[in-house]
Amino acid sequence: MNTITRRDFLQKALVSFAALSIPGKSFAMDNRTLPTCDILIVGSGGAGLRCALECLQRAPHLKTVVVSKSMPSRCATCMAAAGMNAVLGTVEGDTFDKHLFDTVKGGDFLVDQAAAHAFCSEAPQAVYELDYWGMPFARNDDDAIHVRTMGGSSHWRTHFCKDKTGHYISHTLLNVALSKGLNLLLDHQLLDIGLHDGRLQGVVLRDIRTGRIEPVFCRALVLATGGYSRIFWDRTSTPFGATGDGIAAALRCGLPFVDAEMIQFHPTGVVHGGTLISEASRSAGAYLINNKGERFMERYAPKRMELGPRDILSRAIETEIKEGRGFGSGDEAHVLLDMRHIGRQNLVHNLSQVMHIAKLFENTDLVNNPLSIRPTAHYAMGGIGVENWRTMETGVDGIFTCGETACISLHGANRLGGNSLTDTIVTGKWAGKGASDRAEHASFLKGDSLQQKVEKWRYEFVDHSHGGDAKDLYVLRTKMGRLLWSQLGVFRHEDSLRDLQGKLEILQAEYGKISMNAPSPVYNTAFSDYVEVGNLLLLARCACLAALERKESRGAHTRTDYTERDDKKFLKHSMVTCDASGALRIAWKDVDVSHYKPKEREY
Amino acid sequence: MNKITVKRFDGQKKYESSYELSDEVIRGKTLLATLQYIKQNLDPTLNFVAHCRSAICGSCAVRVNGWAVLACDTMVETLFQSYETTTLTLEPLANFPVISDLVVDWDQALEHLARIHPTIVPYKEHSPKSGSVQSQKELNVVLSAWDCILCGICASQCTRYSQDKADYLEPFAFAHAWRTTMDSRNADPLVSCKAAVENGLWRCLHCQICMHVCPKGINVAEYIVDLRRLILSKKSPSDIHPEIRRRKPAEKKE
Repeated sequence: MNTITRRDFLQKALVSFAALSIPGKSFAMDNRTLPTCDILIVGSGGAGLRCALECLQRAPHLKTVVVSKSMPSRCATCMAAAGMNAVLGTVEGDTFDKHLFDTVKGGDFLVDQAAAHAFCSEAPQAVYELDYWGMPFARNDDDAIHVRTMGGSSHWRTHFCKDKTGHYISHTLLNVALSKGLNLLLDHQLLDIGLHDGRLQGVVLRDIRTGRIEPVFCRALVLATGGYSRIFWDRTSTPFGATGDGIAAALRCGLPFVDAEMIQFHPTGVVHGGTLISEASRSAGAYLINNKGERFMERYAPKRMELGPRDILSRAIETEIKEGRGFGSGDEAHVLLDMRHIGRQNLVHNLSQVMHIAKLFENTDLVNNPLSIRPTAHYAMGGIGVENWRTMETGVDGIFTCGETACISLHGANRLGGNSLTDTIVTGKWAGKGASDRAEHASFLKGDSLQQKVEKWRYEFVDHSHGGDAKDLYVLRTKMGRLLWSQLGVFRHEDSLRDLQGKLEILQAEYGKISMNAPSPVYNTAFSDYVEVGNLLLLARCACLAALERKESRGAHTRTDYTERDDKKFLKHSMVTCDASGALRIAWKDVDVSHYKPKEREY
Repeated sequence: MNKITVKRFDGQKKYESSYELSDEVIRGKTLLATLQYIKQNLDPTLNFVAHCRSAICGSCAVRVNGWAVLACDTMVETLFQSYETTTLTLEPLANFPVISDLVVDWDQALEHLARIHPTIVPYKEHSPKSGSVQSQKELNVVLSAWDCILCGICASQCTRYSQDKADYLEPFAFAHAWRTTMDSRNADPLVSCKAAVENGLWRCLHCQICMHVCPKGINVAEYIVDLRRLILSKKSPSDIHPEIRRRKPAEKKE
C-alpha cells in the first residue's frame, strides 16, 4: 500500500485528481505532472462557498476548487436556524453603531472593534447579495425582508425564513455555484498544509473514496472548515464533521490559534445528544421554567428575560440545575422550555424544524408539552489568527481563512444569535477577495516539504489501520467529550482544568498507540474518524491551556475561582501555538477597543 | 434477537454482513444511532455517512428492505414492528454509483442538478447592492420546494429513473427547476423550464412515488405537472399561479 512507484504516482495524479489537472495550467516538477489549482478552498459550508463565488467573479480565469469532506450541503451552516443580523434601514432607530455596540457588549468587550465595525457596515450587503441570488427570505407587508428579534440585540435586525435560514443559505449558495460551474472535489479530507520557506506550498489531501493520499499545489489556500465544538463529542449541536480540521492543520504549520477557550454554549439543546432548539423559539416567546414553575431568567436578566445573550442564559440554566431547581440528575439533568402558549399555528408555520427535533429526540409535542433542554456546545468564537481582516490573510503568506474557522474576533467572548450566518457571508467574501488577488501574482513553490508530509501520512494510514481494535478510538472519543463537558464546560476551575490537562496528555499518548482493524483504503470512515479525533484532541488541549491561563470570567468563559472580568490583565486575546514536537505555548495580544471602552454588562 | 443485514461493497467485491442486536441495544435508537453502535462496537469497517442527525443535511439516506429512508429520522424499533420481522436488510440508495457499503457517489447527481440551472436570472432592476423585491405571497408559492435537503431518496425510488437513467433526471432536479421557474424574482423563468424539458420533463410516469417517500413531504410529481401546464399553456408563471405579480420584463417576453 505504501510503496508507490513513479508510474503509480503519475497514474494517481492524473486519474484520482483529474479534476485538478487541466491543460495549460499543470505544474511540472522533476518531470512529474502534479495536481494543482490556483485557489483551493477547504470547506463547503456558507463561508467556503461564498468565498468560492467571490473568486469566480473576481478571477474567472483562475482555477478555483472547493474541497469537501462530504458534499456541500452537509455542513453546520445548513443547521443554523434563526437568521442573519444586519441593519437594512427597515427598522426605525437602528444603526450600524448600535449593531456594533450590541455585538461588542454581547462579546463582553473582547471584540476587535475596527473589524466588527466593518462587519456591521457590510452586513446589509451580505443579506442583499443572497436575496439577489434567489435566497428565500420571509417578507413584510412592504415586500421588504422581514425581521425577528434575537438574544442580546437592542433592535429587531435578524433576517430570516422560518427556522431554516441556514439551510436556505447553503442551498442558495450551492445552486449559484452549480450554475456557475464551480469545481467541487467531494469526499476529500484535508490532512496537512505544506510550507516552503514559511510560504504556502500546498496541501495534503486524502481522497476518501480511494484512500489515496496526494499533494495538491496551490497559489492560495482558504481554510473554511468550520468550528471544533465536537471536542465535546456527545454534548454539542454541531454536525459530526465539525472537527476543526483546518484549525488543526494551521496549528501544525505554525499559525496561532486565537481565543481557543472561547466556546459558546447554546442554552437550549435537547437533553439527549444536544441537538439545537433554535433561538427562534425564544424569539417567538418561549419561556424557560425550573422545577418550581418559575421563569427563572428574571433573576439573571430581568430586562431581557429569555432574550438575554447566550452566555448568561447558559450560566443561568446550569446554576438552576446545580442549585437543585432543575429536573433529573446527571446526564438527564435539565430545565424546561415551554412553547405551549405560542400556539399550534405559529409553531407549525414558523418553527417546523424545532418541532421536528423535539419530536425526534425527546418525543415531545411542543403544542401540548414543554421540552426538556440543557446547554450544548454550539460555536467557536476562537479560530485561526488573522493578520489582516480586509483580506483574511493569516501569518503565512498564501493562507487565508473565513467563517467560524477564522478569528478576527467579531464575536469576542460570546457571539450574538444571528451574527454567525452574516459572518460566513461577509468574511467569506473578504477571503475570496484576498485569495484571488494573491493567486493572480503568486507562483507555485517547489521543494520537498509537502512531499514529506504526504509520505508521513501514507505511513500513518498503514500504521493505524491494521490490527488492533477500533473500539479503543471510539471509547477514547466518548471519554474526551465527557471529560471536556464536565471540566471545560459552562463552569471552569483551576483545579479541574489542571486535572483535565493531565488527562488530555494521557489521552494524547493513548491516541498515538491506537490501531484499527479496518485496512481497506476505500472510503475508510474509521480512518477518517481517527484523523478527526486527532484534530479534536489537539484543539481540546489548546482550549484547556487557554482556559487555564485566562484567570478571569468573561463571556462564555466562566471561572468559579475568578468570577469577575479583569480588564487590567485580560483585555487580551490568547494565542496558542504548537511547535514541531507538539508542545503548546501561549501568548497574548491586545484587543482593539477603538469605538467603545469596556463597561459593565447589564441585560 | 433482532438482526440487521447490510449489503456491503468494498470497492471490489459485494458481500453481506449481519449484526445481531438485543432489544436493549435498539431501544429508543434511530437507525443512524444503531449504525453508529454497530460501527463503534461490532464492526469498524462498516461505512456510512452522517452529519446533522436532525433530518436537515440529507446525508444519511439508506434503503431498508428496499425502501429509502433518512437513517437519523427513523426509529429502528418502528421498522422491525412495521415490517413484522426480526431481520432488516440495509442497502445503499439505488440509482447512485456505490462507493462503499452504504456510501454513494454524488458527483453525477450534482452535475445533473447543474444542468437544470437551479438559480434565478435576476431582473435588471434588482442588484446585489440592494437586493430584490418579493411579497410573502409570492414566496409562499415556491417555499415548499425549498425544503429539499438533497437526500436522494426520491432518486432512489423513482420508477422512471430506475428504468432508464440516460434520458431522465433525479426527481429533486425537477423540484429545483420548478422552484426556480416559479420564483417571482426570476426574470427569465424559461431557462430552468427549458432545461427541465430537455432533460426528461415529459417522461415522468406519474406514479407519484417521489411524493410518497420524500421525508420533507415535497410533492415533486405535482411540480412536474405544474411545469407541463406552464409549457402547454404558453403563458407565464403568473398565469399559473395568480399570487405571482406580473412584472415588466416578463410581459415583454410574451
